[in-house]
Amino acid sequence: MTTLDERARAAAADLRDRAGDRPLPDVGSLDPSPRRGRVLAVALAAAAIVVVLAAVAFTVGDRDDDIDVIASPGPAPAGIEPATWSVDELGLSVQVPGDWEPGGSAAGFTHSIVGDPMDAYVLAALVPDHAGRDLDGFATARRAWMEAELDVDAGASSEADVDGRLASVWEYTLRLSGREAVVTEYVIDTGGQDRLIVVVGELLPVGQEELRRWIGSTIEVESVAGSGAPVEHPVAEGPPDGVEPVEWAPPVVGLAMDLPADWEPGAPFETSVPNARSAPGEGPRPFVLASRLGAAAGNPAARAAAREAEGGVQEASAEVVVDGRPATVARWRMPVDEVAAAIQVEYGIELEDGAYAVVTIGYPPGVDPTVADWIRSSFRVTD
Amino acid sequence: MAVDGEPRSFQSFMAAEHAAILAFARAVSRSWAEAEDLTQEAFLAAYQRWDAIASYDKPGAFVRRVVANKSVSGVRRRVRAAAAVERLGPPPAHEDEVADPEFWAAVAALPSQQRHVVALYYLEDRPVAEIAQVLERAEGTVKAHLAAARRNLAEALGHDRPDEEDR
Repeated sequence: MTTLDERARAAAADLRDRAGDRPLPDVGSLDPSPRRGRVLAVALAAAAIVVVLAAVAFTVGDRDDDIDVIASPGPAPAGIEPATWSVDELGLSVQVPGDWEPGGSAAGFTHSIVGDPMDAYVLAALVPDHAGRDLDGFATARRAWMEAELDVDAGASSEADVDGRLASVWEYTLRLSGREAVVTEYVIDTGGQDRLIVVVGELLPVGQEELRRWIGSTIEVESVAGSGAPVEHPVAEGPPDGVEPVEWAPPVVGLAMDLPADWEPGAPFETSVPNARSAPGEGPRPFVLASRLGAAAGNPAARAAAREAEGGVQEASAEVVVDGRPATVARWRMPVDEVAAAIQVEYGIELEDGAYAVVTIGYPPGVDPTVADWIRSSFRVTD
Repeated sequence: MAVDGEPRSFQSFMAAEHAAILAFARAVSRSWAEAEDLTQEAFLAAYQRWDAIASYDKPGAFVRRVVANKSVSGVRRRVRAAAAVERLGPPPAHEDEVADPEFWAAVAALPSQQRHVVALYYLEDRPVAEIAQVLERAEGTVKAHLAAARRNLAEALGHDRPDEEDR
C-alpha cells in the first residue's frame, strides 16, 4: 500500500513537471533600465490589476467631452448604503457601498476594495515619480504605456480638481479575452514627489456608471501623516496620563521595558515570536514583540528583507543609541488588511555577544503614538 | 547572488526559479490561475527591489516568502482567485489538472503555516533547517508544523499515521 510520503512525493513530482511545462512569462517589460524605470513597473502592475479585476465595453456617452468631475460628493445612488473606505497610508478616503470588502494589495496596487459579486472595484496606490515630471507628463507617459501594451480604447482625459488637488482624469475601456471593463482613473498630485493613483472600475454588462461616478466624486485626499518624518529614539519620560506602568522583561531577550498594566500576553495575530504583549480588545490594536536573534537574522539588512517580503515599505530609519548600546530603528508601513497594525517601529539593539535584541512596536494608523513612544523610550538593556 | 563577480540578472534569476516558485505557489493555493497570479506578484516584488535582492545569498527564498505571505489572507485569496478567473476567462478543461487533486485539496485545507512547510518539504525536498531559513521560522516551529501537517494529511487521505522524520 502506498504510504503518505510516497504519495506526496509522487504528487510533488507531478506538480514540478507541470510547472516546468508552463511558459515562462515575458519579462521584457520588466527591464529595469533607468529610462523605463519605476513608472513602467507600476504601470505594468496597474495594467495587471485592471486586467485582473475587470475590463469593459466602454459605454461612456460622449468621449470628446471633458469628464465631469464633481468636486463635492453627490448623493449615493438609490439603494446604496455608503461607507467610508479610508486608507491612512495613502491619505485617501472614498465612499463605497457598505457591503464592499477590502481586498488588500494585488498586482502592484497596494490597496483595493471590491464589490461582492465583484462587479465594481476601487484600486489605489501611491507612486513616486523619480523622473520628476509634472503631473501631466507623468499621466501622459502612463496613458501612452497603457495604450501601447494593452487593448485599451482611450476615452476622454482632462485636468480636474479632486478635493482641492490638481488631478489628471482619464476614462478608458479595457478589453481582454472578450471581456470589457469601464475604468475612470484619477492621477492626483499630492504636493510632493508622489502621485496618488485611484482607479474606479465597473464590469459590464451590469452597467454602474452612476455608482462609478459617485465613488469618484467622493475622493478625499489628505497628506500622508508621518510618512516623510524621520524616526528617532525618544528621550525617556514618564508614562502618559492615565497609564499605569508595569515592567516587562521577556526572557532571554536581554531587554526590559515599561508597558501599560492592562496589556495582555499574546499578539493580535499569529506569530512565531514567543514574547508578545498587546492592548486589550479585538482586531488591529497596539502590540509589542520581542526576541533575541543571532547576527545573521538580526542584522538590519536581514530584518529589512524580512519586512519587505511581508509587503512592508520602510518609511524611515536611523542609527541610534539605546541605553548605551548601538541600535537601528526603522518605521515600516505594513499591509493594512492584516490584523497586524499597519505602522510598525522596529529596533535592533546590538548586545555584547553580537546578538540583537529585536523589538517591534505596532499600532494602527490614526492611533495616537504617545503610548508607543513612551514604551520605546523606556527600553533598558539587561544583558 | 554574484556569479563570477557579476551581479545576477533578474531575467536569469526568474528563468531559473520560475518553475519552482510556480509549483510552490500552486501547492499553497487552489488553482494554476491563482498560482500564476501569486507568482507574478512575487517576482514583481523581487524586481522592484532587485538592486538589494540580487546580493542575497538566496534571493529565491525572498520570492518564496512573498508567495507564502500573499497566499494567507482569506479575502485576498478570494479576490485573487476571482481576479485570476476574470483575467484568464473560463479555464480550459485541463487548466487545473494535477495528477492527484485529492492530495492537493488536502494540502489546501491545512492551516497556512503547515501548508507552507509541507509544500517546501515535499516539493523541494528541503530539510527542516532549510525550510526554517526560507520561511524565517525557528527550526522547532517548522518541525512542529511539519509533523502536524503530515498527521493531518494522513488522516484526511486515509493513510497510516506517518513516522516522525528527522532531517
